[in-house]
Amino acid sequence: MNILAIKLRLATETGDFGFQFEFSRGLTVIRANNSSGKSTLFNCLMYGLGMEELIGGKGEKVLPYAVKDYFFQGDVRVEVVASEVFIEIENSTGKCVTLRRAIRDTVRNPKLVEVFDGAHLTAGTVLGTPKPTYLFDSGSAQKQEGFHQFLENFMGYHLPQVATTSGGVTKLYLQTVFAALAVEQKRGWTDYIANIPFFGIRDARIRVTEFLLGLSVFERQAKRSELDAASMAIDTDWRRAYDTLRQAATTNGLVIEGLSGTPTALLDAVTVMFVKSNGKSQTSFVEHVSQIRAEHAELGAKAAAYGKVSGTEALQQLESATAELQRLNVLHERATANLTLQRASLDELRNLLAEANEDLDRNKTALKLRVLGAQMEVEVASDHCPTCHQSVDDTLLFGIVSGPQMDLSTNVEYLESQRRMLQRQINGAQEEIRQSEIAVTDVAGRLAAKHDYRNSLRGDVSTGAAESRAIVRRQIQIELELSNLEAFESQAATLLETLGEVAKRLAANQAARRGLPKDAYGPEDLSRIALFEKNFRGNASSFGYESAEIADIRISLDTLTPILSELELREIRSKVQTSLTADSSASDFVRLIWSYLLALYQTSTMRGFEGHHPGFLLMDEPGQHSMRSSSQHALLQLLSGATRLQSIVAASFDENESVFLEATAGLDFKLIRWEGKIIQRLS
Amino acid sequence: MAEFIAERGHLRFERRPSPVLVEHRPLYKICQLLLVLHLSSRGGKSTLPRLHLFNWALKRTDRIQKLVGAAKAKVLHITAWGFDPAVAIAIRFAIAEELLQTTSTGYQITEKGLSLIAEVLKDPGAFSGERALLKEIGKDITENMVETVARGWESA
Repeated sequence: MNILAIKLRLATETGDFGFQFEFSRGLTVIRANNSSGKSTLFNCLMYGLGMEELIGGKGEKVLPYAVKDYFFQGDVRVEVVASEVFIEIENSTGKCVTLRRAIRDTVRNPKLVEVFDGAHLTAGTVLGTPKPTYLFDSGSAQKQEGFHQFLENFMGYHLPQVATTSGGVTKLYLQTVFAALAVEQKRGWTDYIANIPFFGIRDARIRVTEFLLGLSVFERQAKRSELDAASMAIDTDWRRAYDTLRQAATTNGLVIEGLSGTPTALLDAVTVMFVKSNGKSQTSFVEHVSQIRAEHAELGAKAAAYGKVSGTEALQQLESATAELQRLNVLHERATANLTLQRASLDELRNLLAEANEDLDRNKTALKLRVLGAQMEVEVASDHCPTCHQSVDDTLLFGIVSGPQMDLSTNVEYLESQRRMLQRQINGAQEEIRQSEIAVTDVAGRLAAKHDYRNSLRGDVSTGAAESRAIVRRQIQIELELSNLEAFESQAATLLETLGEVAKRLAANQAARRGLPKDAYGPEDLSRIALFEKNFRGNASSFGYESAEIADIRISLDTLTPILSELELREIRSKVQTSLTADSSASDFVRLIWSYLLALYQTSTMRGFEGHHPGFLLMDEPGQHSMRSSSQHALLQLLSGATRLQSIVAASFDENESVFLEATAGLDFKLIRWEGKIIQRLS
Repeated sequence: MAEFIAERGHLRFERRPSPVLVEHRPLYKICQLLLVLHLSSRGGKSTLPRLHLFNWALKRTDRIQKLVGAAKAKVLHITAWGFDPAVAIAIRFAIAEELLQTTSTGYQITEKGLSLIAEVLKDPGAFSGERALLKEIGKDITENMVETVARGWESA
């Protein structure tokens, strides 16, 4: 993106004042003496781009009074009635737009940025109908009508989602990226990418650097969160199918065996079994079905022979039914008693877990206390006696209890494993209870059926009817159960199929997860970082950095900032890494910031390593700390030499003609300068 | 088992460290006492029996609930409570650390103790349960109430 021109218009009672400048597509040098309005120009530029948060504020507050309240024209004080900034920008596809943002206006809000098609300032295109966009409303970076969203699209960006310090995710805001592109004078030269506004983004500077260098971390992160979302879906799908299956099984008095309630990739439908349990013994589904079929057939035979049945036989049947009823009664009682016991032990386990949790909390408090105590120089916190300074055990009952004692962190681990164990026991107990409940309902159902059967038999014996009501009743019961079981069987088959598919999805998900690289940066990323390091070193040496041996400077893979891997390696102080912030003289550190910002651009435009640098750099007073003019010259030379980089450098050159000449000698650039104050009558 | 011993010829036992009640960690107990002095004692001062009462009460929820009730009713209906040697040792440590100082009637929290407990209270997770209950009790368990019960012991 290129910034082509800027115009500030102050409407006053005596006509329009302000300024208008055009920028070169290469290097533009704004030469201005101190307090002549250089920062006003720079800040208006930031404001016009909706980037005033980089200067440290929102809205027109960041601008000087001269552009919103009053200014002096000679000795006359002129009140500002209304004021606005125009910025003309062009993107990489050559499309031009003009932005208009009010500073002080009775009608238009400073949060409004109007976007006009065409180059109004440089080509005089007439302002058409604006497209209104807004700043700083919640979602201005996300919604279509947000200005930052517009600018993001205009620049051809697709900003990634990044982690926040509070554990959520947010967009890598455009303003954070601009902090690496526009350096303001007051705080901008205090650190690499110093002015990132606060959005709660974790390690914002690293993220911005990664983004500009085009590292693939974001893609990988997106991939990972995609996989996460997929596994969430897998989990819900599995649970839904499992719950339906379990419910259906429960209604039919069946227990599922060999199927886990949580997703597993290792599902084998053959090993899943449905069993009928009466609390004591178990029969498989198939066996059960064949049993009741056999019973049904037997009953049919009996019914056919019913008319010929003698009273004795009927009595025998009644007796055997009564005996069966008693057996079922016993089973039912046992199953209920068992269930009660299991419930009691579950309660017990839950109590234990609550206690373990409380104990764990207290132990964690104790751990915190040790840290705090050590900070307050309480000797007991470091296991030393406050009186004699000898070491003491971390228990008050030393000497009363014998044998070694756990230290606090071991104790916490111990409690945590105890808690995990209890949790597992609870889960197991819950599963057992569920099975027992099924067994109890099943036995109860059979008990009731048998009871009815016996009553019918009694009726048969007393009435001597031609057709046995008992047999008919039992047959109907069996037929009903059989049809239920058939329905269940087909339902179970479809559900198992679904579960099998889910298991396959899970396996694929897990495989994809394993395929993700473990290190933060892949080989291609590493080569980009290596290139960045090379560029950085090259820049530092051309800027005359001399606080340390340049060959010893590296780019840290943890912070993506330069570090010094110490020369003292020879003195066996191995691996001591100091921050270059601490080890450089003031002006040398500024040289490093130049090198850093420039290296970001250089790396990003290298063929084969294309990153996301938009190709412009704004620097307000880069010559901090009485920078040598030769270093400034080197900077301007590199900037003007970068063919596709637009750079705008505002500097006072120590208000010295010779410094300016030396710094710009032999360079191709566009000069912007003015006499006196920057705010002048517009022609 | 017998085969195993026959095969190996011997058994070796190794004593593993045993867990410690968090109650018996010096700093935990000290801070608990400081908390009682800070939140539930007038002028950060308390007699020894009163400190023991709080220590005993903080060991179980039902006990401390009783104390909450007593603070509201302004009468202490607890006839006796335990005296824990751990408290005595913790107090000795705390005095040596200058977190506590002795007064004519008992113990008082020092400046250093106050600043330590202020740091501790900055973390909402530390002593969360105790803190809430002690605040509920406030400074309403007075020395007089404790004294009245203690007098009963002597006459018996």
